[in-house]
Amino acid sequence: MSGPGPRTDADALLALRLEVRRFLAAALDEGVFEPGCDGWLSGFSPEFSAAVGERGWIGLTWPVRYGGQERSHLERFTVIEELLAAGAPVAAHWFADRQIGPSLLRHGTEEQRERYLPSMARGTRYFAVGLSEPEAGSDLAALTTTARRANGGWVVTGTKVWTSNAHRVHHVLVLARTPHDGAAAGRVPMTQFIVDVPSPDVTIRPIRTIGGEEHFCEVFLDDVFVPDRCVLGVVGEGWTQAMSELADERSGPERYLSTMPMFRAWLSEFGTDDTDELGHLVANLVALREASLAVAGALERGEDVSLAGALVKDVGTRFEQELVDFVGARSPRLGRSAVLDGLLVGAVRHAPGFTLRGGTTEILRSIVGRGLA
Amino acid sequence: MNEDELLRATVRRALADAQDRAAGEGIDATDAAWAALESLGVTGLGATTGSLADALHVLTEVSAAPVATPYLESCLLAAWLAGEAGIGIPDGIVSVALDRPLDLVRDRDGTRVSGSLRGVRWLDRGRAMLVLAAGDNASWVVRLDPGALPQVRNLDADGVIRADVTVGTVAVPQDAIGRLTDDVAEALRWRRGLAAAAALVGAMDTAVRMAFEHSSSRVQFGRPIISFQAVRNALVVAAGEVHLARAATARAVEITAATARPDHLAVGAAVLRASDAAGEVARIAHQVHGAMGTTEEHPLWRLTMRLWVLRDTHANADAWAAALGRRFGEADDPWAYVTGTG
Repeated sequence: MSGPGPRTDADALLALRLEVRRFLAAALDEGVFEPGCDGWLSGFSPEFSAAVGERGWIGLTWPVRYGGQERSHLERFTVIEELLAAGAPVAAHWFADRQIGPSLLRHGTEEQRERYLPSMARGTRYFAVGLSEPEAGSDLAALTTTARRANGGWVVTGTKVWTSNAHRVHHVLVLARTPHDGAAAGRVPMTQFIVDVPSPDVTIRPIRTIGGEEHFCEVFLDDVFVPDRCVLGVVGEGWTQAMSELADERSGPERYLSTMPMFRAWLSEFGTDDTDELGHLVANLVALREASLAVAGALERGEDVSLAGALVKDVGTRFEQELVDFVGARSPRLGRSAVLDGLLVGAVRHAPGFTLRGGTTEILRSIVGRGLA
Repeated sequence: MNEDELLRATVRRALADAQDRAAGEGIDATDAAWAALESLGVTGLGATTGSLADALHVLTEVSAAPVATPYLESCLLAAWLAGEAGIGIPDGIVSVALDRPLDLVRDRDGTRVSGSLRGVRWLDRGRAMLVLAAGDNASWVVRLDPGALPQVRNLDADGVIRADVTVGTVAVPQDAIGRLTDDVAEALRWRRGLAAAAALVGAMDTAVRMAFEHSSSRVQFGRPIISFQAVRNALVVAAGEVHLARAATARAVEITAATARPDHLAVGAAVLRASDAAGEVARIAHQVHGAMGTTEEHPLWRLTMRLWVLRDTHANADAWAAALGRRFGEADDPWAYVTGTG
């Protein structure tokens, strides 16, 4: 990689990768976790996250003074792809590491960074992201959650939905409409609020997904007081901040590795079956990985990655679904072990969500289509 | 702009100028483009001068231009192969026939090859032709004079003349034959795969760009057709295909440049991803262009037909898929194999 930012030579990257693998192998040996598909959304384990944090693998790119390691995006990529491919339960710290941390560094006050980042990096402080609403899904601009000024802060009212793990985290980052106050005409001013949970004024109701899991939540905000010190970034600029977070975070390996634990289990049992089709799949995997790595490099250099990121997500999420089809189609002929069976069922249940979350494929294609026209 | 980009921009400009000149002066577009490449000094890249990576960068640009040129066959393959086999070749275009070896016999009367060749592209413009031959317990590279052999010419899908050649039995002078060692045969396979991927990416880039441009300017039902979600959707699918093929190919070229020894995984992934994308991209580009894109006047077919021809002639996706799938599936840890640690 070139350009500014930390450089990492191949030997250091390899050492880091092997260190993560040793950590994972030990955790598997000790029965700390069972590999699962979609571990970054539904594998919620405070113990595991704390163990990852203890290694310094959360907030890897953040400044040392906030608990980070000041290492490169490429190193972060290496750590998270190993965790994901192993099916490790990383959901608890996932949003903190992926987007809340970078957002705090970009938009947060010094006091906020000092307050939140070190414990986030230790893997003990977790965030959820409250964007979607019952009447604002893909049309996020239609959200109606509103904040009005109050003495020393804001009062927030509204309903968020599909807020992953809101019932298990310490804070929900809520995007809400705020008064105009001289904002540019024609643009709806919005602001990002860090809402502490649980709270008497916040009702959180888990939504059971196919198979009975609970990671999605409805979040009812009933005149919740949020002090000024919990406003993230600039009042009125929340939309721009939230959109740039989304754009930067669409291209990571979680967009194509959600079903990799299942695929790896299949390979270990039947890897030599149907090698022709495997060749096409591995080519796809390698290409996705290179495209995702290229975005990590571009992020390092501070470049705009919105289009490249959306393309990776579009193709990557279809790839993780294709792996389910590949394994499923061969199951009756080859049979499957109990482990593979569990992973396949999990993958099948989660697969419909891959192309929805983080912006549906249809919305992404609109963004990319406009961007490339 | 880094050196690779500068090289590519120079080639792009030279080909565009050549195309304008050919149109203005009524000369053959391929001749004009070839002359431009020769005067840039890029026809010997990766064979007699420069690196394979440079040649691949040039190839991507050459393949992105509407005009058809034999850069892949003559420069990437023939010039290099002649050098490896120690055979002299004339200046100018040299065609290749690499898929089915001729039979070779050596005895006290000398060396003879016999057989026939199918679909040899650029044979009409080639000053010489390189073919493979097998016999006398070895593999060989043989230079033939295409003008001396009976042939039936027809047109490939992209309009390039190709010929079925009846070699019969011909004597080969000693300076027109060289050993094809296993190493060179293997390197030829890599080169051809890399070249196919790089060329496919260039042609796909242009086809998709043309589709975006067309759909932004073509108005139906009172608005540009790109504003229809179904159209935009298809365009982005094509853009995604190219994006991934480009990423995989860039990596394969980078590794080749850095190590001079190609990497099974990187090259296989590049050629497969590009080859798998080619059909989808070509179909979408045509669908978006409507009937206009099927006319001879419109330049689209030069790119889309090239995609199909590259896939059908050089990409050899079936073989790459089997080889790559076997390595991946048989690896102790396939994930380690993909991440370059197994």
